Amino acid sequence: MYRTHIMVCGVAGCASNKSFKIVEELNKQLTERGLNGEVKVITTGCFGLCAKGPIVVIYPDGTLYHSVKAEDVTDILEQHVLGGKPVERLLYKEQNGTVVNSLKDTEFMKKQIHLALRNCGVIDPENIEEYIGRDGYQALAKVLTQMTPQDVIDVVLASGLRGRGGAGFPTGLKWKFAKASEGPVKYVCCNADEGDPGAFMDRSVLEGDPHVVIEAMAIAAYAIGSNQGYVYVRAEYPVAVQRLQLAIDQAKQYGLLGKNIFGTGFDFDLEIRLGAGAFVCGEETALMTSIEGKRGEPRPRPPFPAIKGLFAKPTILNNVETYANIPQIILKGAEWFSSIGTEKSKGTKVFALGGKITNTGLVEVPMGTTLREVLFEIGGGIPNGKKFKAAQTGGPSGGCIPAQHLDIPIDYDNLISIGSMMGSGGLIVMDEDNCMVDIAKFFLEFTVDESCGKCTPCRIGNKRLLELLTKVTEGTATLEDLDKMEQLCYYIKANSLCGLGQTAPNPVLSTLRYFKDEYIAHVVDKKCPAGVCKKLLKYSIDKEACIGCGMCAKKCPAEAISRTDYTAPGHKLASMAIDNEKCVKCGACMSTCKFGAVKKG
Amino acid sequence: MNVNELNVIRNKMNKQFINRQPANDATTFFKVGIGAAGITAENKLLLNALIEAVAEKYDSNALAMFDNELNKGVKVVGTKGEKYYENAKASDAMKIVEESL
Amino acid sequence: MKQKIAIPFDGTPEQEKQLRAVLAELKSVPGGLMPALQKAQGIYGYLPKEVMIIIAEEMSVPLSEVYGVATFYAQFSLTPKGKYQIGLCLGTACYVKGSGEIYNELVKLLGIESGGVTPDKMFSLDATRCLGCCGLAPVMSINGEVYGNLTVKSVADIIEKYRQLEG
Repeated sequence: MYRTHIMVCGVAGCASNKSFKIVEELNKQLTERGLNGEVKVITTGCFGLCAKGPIVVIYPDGTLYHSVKAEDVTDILEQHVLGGKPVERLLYKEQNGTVVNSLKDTEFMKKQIHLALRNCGVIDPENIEEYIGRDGYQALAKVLTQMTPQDVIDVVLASGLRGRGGAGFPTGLKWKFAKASEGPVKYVCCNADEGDPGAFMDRSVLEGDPHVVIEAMAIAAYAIGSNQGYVYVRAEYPVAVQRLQLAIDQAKQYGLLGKNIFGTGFDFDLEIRLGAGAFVCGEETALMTSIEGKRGEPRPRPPFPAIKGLFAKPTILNNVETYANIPQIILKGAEWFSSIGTEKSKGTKVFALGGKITNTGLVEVPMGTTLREVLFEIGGGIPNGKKFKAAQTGGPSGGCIPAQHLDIPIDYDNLISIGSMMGSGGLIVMDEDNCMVDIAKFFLEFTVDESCGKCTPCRIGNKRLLELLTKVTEGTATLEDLDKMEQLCYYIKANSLCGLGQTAPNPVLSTLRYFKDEYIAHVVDKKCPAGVCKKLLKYSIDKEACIGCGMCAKKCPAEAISRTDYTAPGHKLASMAIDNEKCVKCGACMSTCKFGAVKKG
Repeated sequence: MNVNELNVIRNKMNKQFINRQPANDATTFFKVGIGAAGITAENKLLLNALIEAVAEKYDSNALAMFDNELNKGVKVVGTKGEKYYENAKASDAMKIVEESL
Repeated sequence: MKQKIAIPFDGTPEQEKQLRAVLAELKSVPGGLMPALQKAQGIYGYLPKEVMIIIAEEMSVPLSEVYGVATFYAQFSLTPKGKYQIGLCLGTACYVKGSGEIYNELVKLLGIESGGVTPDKMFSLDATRCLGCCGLAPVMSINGEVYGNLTVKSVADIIEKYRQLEG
């Protein structure tokens, strides 16, 4: 029995920050100091506080250490583990300077409820027995030995669980349709393509608690009458793939996957299929087409996948986070789950906070939490004293939420009503230095690049839309162009074949709705208020501040800077000036000037 | 694997998890005072005995830990209120745990 | 924009043996063409025409279909990669934190754009999709090793470090 457990986050950002070196050093010193029987080191999943990683948590006290390096191990062991006093310099401090010893007491954690992330940061994801120790596979046992397939579907329906991949379709309903379809061959798929830039919720679940997905898929298979599952994981997640494969192999070894599970006669097998870098394959029919070994092009619906999906058989496809909620719903019941959240959006949602926010990382909050709470209490607010401008949810399919809606309770329907959507959970924050037109253009460039090309409204429509948007950022658009853009958006939404095309115009529409003034400034005044759009920037030299050293002219790649006739009072040399006709807006002069004489605007 | 075997593994692992749960899941705390002497062989034995006793009683809502703000003995804080055992020894561990859980 | 380089095919008999073994297994797997292309790229580093022809034969799929699938997905490359493969994340979180500037700096330092490889085949550059390390934005990976919290200066230092490795 260990008296102390040292948990070290070994996934995502912390892993890239070499947290494995901390584990190596810990194990080395524990052996040297003869502490192996008393202290256990566990490489675990994401705690969510990625901005302050690598994170180390020491139990039983729950002490939280941040930005830990291998060099800190000696102090951790001598002062804390052996001496009983925490290492002050590694303790987490709130923004007002208060030191917080324990993770659960931080402003970051206080309002969170970890359901999907329940095991992340608690268990060793590479050890199936730890998962079992936390009631793992108990839900599957209950389902196979005490419940009928209809019972399972009734519970999931009653829980109110809605798809966490973005669209929010009731999970129980999807399963119900698939169950009603004719077998005997049916498929259960997991969408682990997580293509939304800025989203890493699914990655963290796969790397921190892979078994929850396996167990949930087996439960789903029993419910609809399937014996084969596929997890489609994007290729950009090699660690997640490896962890999941290890988990599948272990589950097979323990007889929890494969033939005759728990001796009930139920067979279920699971395979991983890798994506190959196509965002559109996150769309359900495109994903299935990709598993079939083809170009990942979506298919028209009807027929819906629950009727005719993968290999033309009835199929359900659910997101990783949706599955992560299933075992607990089975064990704790539909009433428990539906007691969390709002009337129409039950349970919690995991968000990946990114962009201009202090606490970048992963958070899980009950539905109904306001955006203000998520950003300013849990998220720690906007860094560097900057002003909040907008938060983007739903990635390239979503919309931006301006300051006026900060107090909106987050749920599926509220977000749609203000022109955005829940999306998969990416929540990117923008401040006063971001240009909303540029952001819309960024998203549209992404969707144009990722468009599969099959249908005209998306392939050609979005491209034309991007051209118009580019004109705006370059100062060559007219007010008529803005009207054209809006009309085009509605046309594309109404006529595209799949979700990618149908939602690609959303960032444009929502920025037009809330930031029309920025668009007008670009079109009428030919100015970019945030100072981002290069072609609208004007560099100039303050002739009073310039001392005439000429370094800027030397650096200028366009030879656009020359000396004027004017010498400022107290200076020896005449000031320099920029010829805006020749200027290519590279900014080299500004970064070269040591006297702050170059201005941008 | 049958369901019984699954439960055997679960029970085995639960004992190992006794001192590894997030503290906000725990409702009873057994605190071993190390404020005066620091961590010594004696109070290590006491702590281990408490952990073993908790594991025996298998209450996943209890934690046993060192407390450097308490000078000596064992303070129990939990659902049955607070109690202080000033001269607790390792051999008293099971009695203390039974009285508190 | 893909750079056009005519690099002669230099696959070895060992590689072909590996490839054929993989294909023998995947022949009967439903949807096996995707894993076949993924494994083939793992063996050769990219997908030369010669390899796609073998895949078409063994998997009984028309070459045009193999080509269609290979060109659909961003991860498949029909041109060779550099010794050090740089992937700069242009996902939203990184972009909002300035990865666009980092991209410009890399183009300047290496003299190539996204999708290209330096003439000495040392570096190839790809603007990637989100790598899922958004807490460390802006981020780039070089042969799988992730570098975070990038600045224009730190990226120049990192490239220099790799140049020094080559002497």
